[in-house]
Amino acid sequence: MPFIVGTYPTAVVVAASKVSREYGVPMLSGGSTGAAGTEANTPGDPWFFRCWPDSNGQGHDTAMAIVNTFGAKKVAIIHDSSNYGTTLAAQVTRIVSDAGGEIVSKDSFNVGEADFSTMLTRIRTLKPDAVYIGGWAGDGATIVRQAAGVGLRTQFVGSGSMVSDDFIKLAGPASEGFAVATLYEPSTPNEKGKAFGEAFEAEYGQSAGTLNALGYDSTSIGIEALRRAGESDGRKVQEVLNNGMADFPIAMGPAGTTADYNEIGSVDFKNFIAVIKDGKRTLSGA
Amino acid sequence: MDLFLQYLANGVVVGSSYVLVAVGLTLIFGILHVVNFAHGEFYMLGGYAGITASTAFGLPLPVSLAVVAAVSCLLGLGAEALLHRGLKNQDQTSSIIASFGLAVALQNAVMVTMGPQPELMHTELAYKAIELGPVFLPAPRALIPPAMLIIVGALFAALRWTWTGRSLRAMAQHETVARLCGVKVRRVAVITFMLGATLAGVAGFMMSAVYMVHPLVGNMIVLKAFIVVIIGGMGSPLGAAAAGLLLGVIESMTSAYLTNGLRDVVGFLLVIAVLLFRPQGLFGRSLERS
Repeated sequence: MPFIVGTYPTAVVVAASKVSREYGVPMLSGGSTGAAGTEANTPGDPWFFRCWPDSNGQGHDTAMAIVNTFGAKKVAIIHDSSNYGTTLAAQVTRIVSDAGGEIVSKDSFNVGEADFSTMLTRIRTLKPDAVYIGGWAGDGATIVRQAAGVGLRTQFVGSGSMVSDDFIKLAGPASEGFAVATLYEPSTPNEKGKAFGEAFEAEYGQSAGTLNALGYDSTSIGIEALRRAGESDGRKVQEVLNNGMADFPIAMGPAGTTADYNEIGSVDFKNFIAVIKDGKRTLSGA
Repeated sequence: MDLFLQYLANGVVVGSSYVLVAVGLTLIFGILHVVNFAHGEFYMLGGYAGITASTAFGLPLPVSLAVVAAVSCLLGLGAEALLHRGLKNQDQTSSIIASFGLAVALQNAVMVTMGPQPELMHTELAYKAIELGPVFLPAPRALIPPAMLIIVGALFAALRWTWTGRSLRAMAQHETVARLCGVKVRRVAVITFMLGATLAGVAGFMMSAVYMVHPLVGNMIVLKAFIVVIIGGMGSPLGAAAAGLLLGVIESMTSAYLTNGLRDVVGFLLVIAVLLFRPQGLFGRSLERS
């Protein structure tokens, strides 16, 4: 077996990549985005490859968009009390403060909490320029809906988990104007991505999402690396992945992004910031 | 001041939903001495039944309400057979553990049939709102407190003035004496469970236009209902009604003036305090039985 496309949970990646190194079978991420996945690699000799930036990059690009793209000075943060939400909230707080923004409030909630109306009413009185939500999509959708109910109208920005179409369906019309970082949209300025989106739509009758794009990229990179290695040997494929793919274009990321893995097996590019317009994510400035 | 009133209104809305769930729970406990941890699942299934009837089948809201009541009654019937009839001659822990089992079974049954994704009831009402002075409430929220008052008022009236209500209260006071006076114990037990399940189911149905419904939604609501029941006094429906509103308001004020992170904590702190210093609950009478 020359390579594996997988897996999704980062904790599993950390455990599995040690075994894949031992047996000489490189792994290409099937959706794992946690920074721990690539940080577990030995620099210069990675066995787990992720052709998109990690969750820290996503949090960073989101926080920068709050300050730069949306020009927010006063930012309110709402996050769930899980590791995911807490880590993101800390990161956004740091970056927004460093960039000269002011954090006017910071509220945590338990995953699955049902009622946010009082908290949102209080945040409304602080008149924030932007509200950042760090948590899962279901809770994010509830917050956005209830915010519309209490008359809190401002720029909402969510964590990467809220990039799904389900989020838009659950939040309904309240999701208009909501912003989220994304690796891929079918309307991407990236030529390879655009071609992939069109082919996907023609084949399956629905538009391609982030998970479709990253699956396509990981798989096509693996196949191309196998072709370049010339033989079905995992160790040769790993060498090609590590050093010989910098010219191979991928569908995700800005125009011209290639499978140019860094020394810990990550491809770092800037996330798009998508804004929901008429019930569809639209790339800002694209 | 205006903001305070808004926070108060939010608390009353949330509290009203606690009342509906807790009154049924406290009835089942007070009358049958069954501690029912599957009560949150009555709420959850009421929400799913309502969404399926109104959104999937497009039935009008009153018809959907009837569907919810019918599903809840069936559920109450089944739960009574398992938790009360089947286990009443055993130690009380048997029915407590069985109710946990029933809760998990129902959650997983819904997970398999409906899927894990959250659902929401879509109504035209969602785009209307009510303004009372400085207080602003979307229509689906504003409807909850009056609906609660009507339902709980009707329940209290029935408990007080109907023959069935009298037999329920007689059972709550003393089962053996009630039976000697000609109360049909089995019938009372079934009615109690059906009533409890319907109250919770209707609450779940009304709240499904406000909050999302998912298979695990009952977990938190049943804990809140237990807080309410303990604060109000185990087995006291009036206590549950008062304590439910109180808990809703306290949570809202905590979120408004302290921090949202403490919101779910205050209720439990209150319960510990009540259990330590006033174990019969704020509205309960301490029982002295020979």
